[in-house]
Amino acid sequence: MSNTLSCQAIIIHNISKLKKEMGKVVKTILLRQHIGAPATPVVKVGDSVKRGSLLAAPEKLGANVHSSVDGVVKEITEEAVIVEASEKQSDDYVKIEGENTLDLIKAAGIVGMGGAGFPTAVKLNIDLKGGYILVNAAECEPLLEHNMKQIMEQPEKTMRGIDYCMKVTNAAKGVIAIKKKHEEEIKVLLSLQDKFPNISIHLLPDIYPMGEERAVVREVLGKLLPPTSLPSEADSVVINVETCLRIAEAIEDKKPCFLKNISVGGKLKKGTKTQVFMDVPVGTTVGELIEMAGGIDGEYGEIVLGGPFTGHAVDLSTPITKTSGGILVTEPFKDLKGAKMGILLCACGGNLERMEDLCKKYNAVVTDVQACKQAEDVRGTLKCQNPGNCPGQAQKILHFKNAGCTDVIIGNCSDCTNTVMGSAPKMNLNVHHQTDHIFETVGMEPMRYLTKSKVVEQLPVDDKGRQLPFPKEEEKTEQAVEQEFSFSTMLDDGLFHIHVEEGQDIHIEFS
Amino acid sequence: MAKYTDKIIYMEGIIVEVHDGAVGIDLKGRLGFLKIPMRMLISDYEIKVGQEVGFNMSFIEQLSPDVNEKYISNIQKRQEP
Amino acid sequence: MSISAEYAEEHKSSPAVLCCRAEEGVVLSSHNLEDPEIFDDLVDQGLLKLDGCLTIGDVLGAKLLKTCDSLTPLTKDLVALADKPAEAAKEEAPAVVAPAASVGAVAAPALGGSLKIHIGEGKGIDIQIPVGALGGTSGVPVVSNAAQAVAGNAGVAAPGAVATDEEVVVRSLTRKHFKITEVKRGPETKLEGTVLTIREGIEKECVDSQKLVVDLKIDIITPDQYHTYSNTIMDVQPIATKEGDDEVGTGTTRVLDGVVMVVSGTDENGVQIGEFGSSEGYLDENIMWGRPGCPDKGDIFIKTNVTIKEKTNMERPGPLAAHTATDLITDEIRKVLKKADESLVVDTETFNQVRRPGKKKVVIVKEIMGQGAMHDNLLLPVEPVGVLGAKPNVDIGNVPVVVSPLEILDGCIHALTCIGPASKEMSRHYWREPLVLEVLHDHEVDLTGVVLVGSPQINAEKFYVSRRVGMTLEAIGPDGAFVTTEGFGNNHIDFASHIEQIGKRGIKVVGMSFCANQGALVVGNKYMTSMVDNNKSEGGIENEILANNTLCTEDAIRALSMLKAEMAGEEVKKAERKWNPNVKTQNIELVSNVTGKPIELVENETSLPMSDKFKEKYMNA
Repeated sequence: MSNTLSCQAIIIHNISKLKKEMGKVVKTILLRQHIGAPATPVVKVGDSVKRGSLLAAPEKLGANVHSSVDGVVKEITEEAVIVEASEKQSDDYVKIEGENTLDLIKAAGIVGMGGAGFPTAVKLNIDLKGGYILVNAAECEPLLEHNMKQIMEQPEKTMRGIDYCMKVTNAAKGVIAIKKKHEEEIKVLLSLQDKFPNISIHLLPDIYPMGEERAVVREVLGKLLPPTSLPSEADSVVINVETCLRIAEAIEDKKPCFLKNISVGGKLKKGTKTQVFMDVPVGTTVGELIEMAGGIDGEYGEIVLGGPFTGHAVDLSTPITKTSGGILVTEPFKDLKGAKMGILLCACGGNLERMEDLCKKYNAVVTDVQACKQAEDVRGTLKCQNPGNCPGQAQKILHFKNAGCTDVIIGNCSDCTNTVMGSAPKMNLNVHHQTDHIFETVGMEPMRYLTKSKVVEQLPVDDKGRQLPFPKEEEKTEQAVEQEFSFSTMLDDGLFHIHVEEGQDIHIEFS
Repeated sequence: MAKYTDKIIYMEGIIVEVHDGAVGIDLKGRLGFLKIPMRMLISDYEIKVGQEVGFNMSFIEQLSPDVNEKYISNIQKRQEP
Repeated sequence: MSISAEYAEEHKSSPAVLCCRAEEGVVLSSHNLEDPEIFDDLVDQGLLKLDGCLTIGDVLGAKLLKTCDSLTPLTKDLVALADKPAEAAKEEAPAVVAPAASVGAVAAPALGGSLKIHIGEGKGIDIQIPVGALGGTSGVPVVSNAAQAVAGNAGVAAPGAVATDEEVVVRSLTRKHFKITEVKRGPETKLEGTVLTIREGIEKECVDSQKLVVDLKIDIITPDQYHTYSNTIMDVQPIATKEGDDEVGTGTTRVLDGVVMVVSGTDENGVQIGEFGSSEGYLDENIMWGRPGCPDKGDIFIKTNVTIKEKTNMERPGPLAAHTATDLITDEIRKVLKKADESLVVDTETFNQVRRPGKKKVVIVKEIMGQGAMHDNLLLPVEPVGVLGAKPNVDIGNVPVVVSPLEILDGCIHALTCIGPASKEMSRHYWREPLVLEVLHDHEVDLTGVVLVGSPQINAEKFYVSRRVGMTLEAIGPDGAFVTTEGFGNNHIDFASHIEQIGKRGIKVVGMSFCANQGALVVGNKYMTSMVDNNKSEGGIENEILANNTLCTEDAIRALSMLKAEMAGEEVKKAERKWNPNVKTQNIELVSNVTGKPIELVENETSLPMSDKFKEKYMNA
């Protein structure tokens, strides 16, 4: 099986070489890089375009699509505009026009760059009435590093982007949600506190998933929203950290959104360590990026676009979009020799299609499919009712066992995976995680048991309300925050009534 | 008592006869024919010929080498003109 | 999987096992706990040991002392029980209403005479405490008096509510018994002394009366002829008639003792009517003598062997025609019985329908088959177990029909039902229905009536009728109810649904059905906690022995004891995972220990003779 795959790789390599020899680089720019309908092309075949030229505009919900190269429109299909790049590329771009912040964000065609692709101008067209902009800098998918690199390289512009978001939505506070382990990045952000006093940092534990929209709201604001709700119900908007940067570019530089930061890792000739490519033109192929990263090192299993959890298999000719994040080349798959596989679906991991694809690649037979109790179908997508907090899986595992499965494949979060490990191995079921072959490629321990706490300590605050870095192993003081609350008491009917509208740390004592 | 009853096999069949009191079911894969009284059929829809049904069953095992004369006698009676 | 707070409350006494990893210091809630339903499976697989495990009730609200993984049974060393808001706190402040939407934890440790409530975080919190519960605190003396005043008022109101406990006889039914010692054929149907004569040639009229009946034979079977081959027995019926204009369920009924009508038959091709699990064979090997629905040993059978048109054995008109044709004979006997001289009465029996105000009100819900064809029943004929005037249950739409206990005992059901013979309730079964008799005669309960409900085929219709059962019971407003069903199969779906509909209205329910091995319930719900299994067969299966697994007195006694216990607030133990016949034996023993009356158990198929050839083979082997 792996032989066939590696043959395929050689052929594609050849095509890619062929393209280069001919000296003609083409960019396939997809018309649907966002949630909503594909954008409608506004150019014709033969048109000359420049970097930043508008190629397509949405008719309904969607976002503008711009050329990422100077060149000529070679072909227009239902899915894409194909631009043949000129040999000479300039650094300049066609500037966007707009009256105000929202217009500029809309004109730039910015969409949620964490992967969701929701048109940002639509998302930010809301009055949060003093609420929160929650910046998702969790970079939750393992092996991806481009968000952290962005924070290190362009912290101020990123902060300004957040500030624009706050202003346009009338938010009083911005909170950057970032994993506690990124100490350097946190330090850099803290150094900008004086310039951006209304933007604070919330630390996240290093477990999966923390980047899910409602997980961010829950972690930062302590409110668990039902899967059907939007963060606006908690007076907040969750926005990806790269999206914030692109917003700053649109507003300050009048720059359309046609570049994307990409992490490339896995089985590469330069080693498995993740390489980050900043500002990659949209439409660049996965193959080109892999070449830039040194090329594939021998036989491989599959190429995943996205992260280990939410990514899916692609081929070398797949173009990247505004929502692409990582490209991961994996080791060849183990041959499970027709093992009877139970698929445990959940919102964290791959969908049924992805899981079935993996079973096929592992040479396993899908015998039973179960969905996690907390996975709720919201308009065709599974959403977790309480991301990262397991509802128990023993019943599902029993079901697999009774259905005659010998193996189980899961895509669960750290907590649920840990629960599966609590029963499946004892029932002689081999557990596979959908990230196994990826983690194995880079020499990481497979997802199995959870040993870290799901709770992390937050940054200390000084008397002026400024957040401070953790003191180095010094004594930490606990800070109690007093909350305002109201209560009333009544005496009537022999009953003593106490009514508390809302409050925290309420003490009622009779003695 | 049958010895192998815990080997549960998922089976499917097609309703080929519908009577007031019974349905006839052809088991898929030429595995036989089953006629069952209505109350043994759990139905969410109006029962029609051509509908597929599913159920768990196990292998049929002989309980012993012996012949029960009572049933032989009943069979013989039935075959009498 | 984690459980809801409500579910946890219901399973308070089940073992507490973590469903997932939980970290040290966590206040345990239902979300941390695994569903006790799967523990048996896990224990079977060796995944779980519940020794020393605390109960769900123990651990709710308690703090976890150590980070533990999924499926960890919570034991004393893992949970800080001492810090837990003790039951004492609840007793002192019974009206504390938990905040419905609070995110934070609520803890109310009771220390000495003081009540402390601490709420981590919350919204819309309402707390009401009867001030009396605060125990004469100096802070609120005025209210303390108010509380006493309220209590005083309640004291005055109470005596008025005491009702008189006199029994009220709603109506009566008298049965006059006529003894029959011989049945013969003759030129006219007549009753002379103890001899019943059936007119010769009546068979032709029977055949002519029904288009689908092509032949009908009458066999008169006396006890010495019990070893006779018979086609499948479709019904056993008492021969009874009303006096004058009396209606079924009231007035006087005349009944012949020592003789029963037995309906049997095949179609023209010799295929048994009903076809499945038929009781055809030698009568003495296939009848569970003495069951409420069966002939008693010594009874003379007037057995019709009806041949119906080919291929109508499984269609609704076929069995109905066989019954109707047979009833023509019965009806002719009824006519002579009506005129029989009063001097021939050998015994008079009176059934009183008694209401017992002040006692626990109970209703009997009897699920009868209504899936069509042989799964039908004729309701409320003019004559006991007659055909004329009756409405087929299927045509009524299987909706609940309320009848009096005396109507049941007076033959208001003509059972066409031809399900597996072992669990079929024959027409004679209702005539001697043990549950109705037990409950009617029990001085501790007040039987309000019997609700008959059909069991339709399609699930949607099943739920339609079960919702009507719920509403009917809501209107009656009893304290407890029995739900009985015959046999097993898809009728267990509505059986379960009836119990749910009744149970969720706060009425205690005891279910009765044949279950054992083969009839294990296909569905269940949280109200199905008290069940009585009607199984009598050795292997726990449905067999071809007529009425073997039907409801008998011993089942009625158990069900009544169980319902009484439920209504008194006692707990009925959870059923074991697999069918265990010893449960019945133990329950019977418990009941007879309390009542001081021994309960004699009926025999099962092992008491019947084996066929000679069969016997020869085994006894000599």
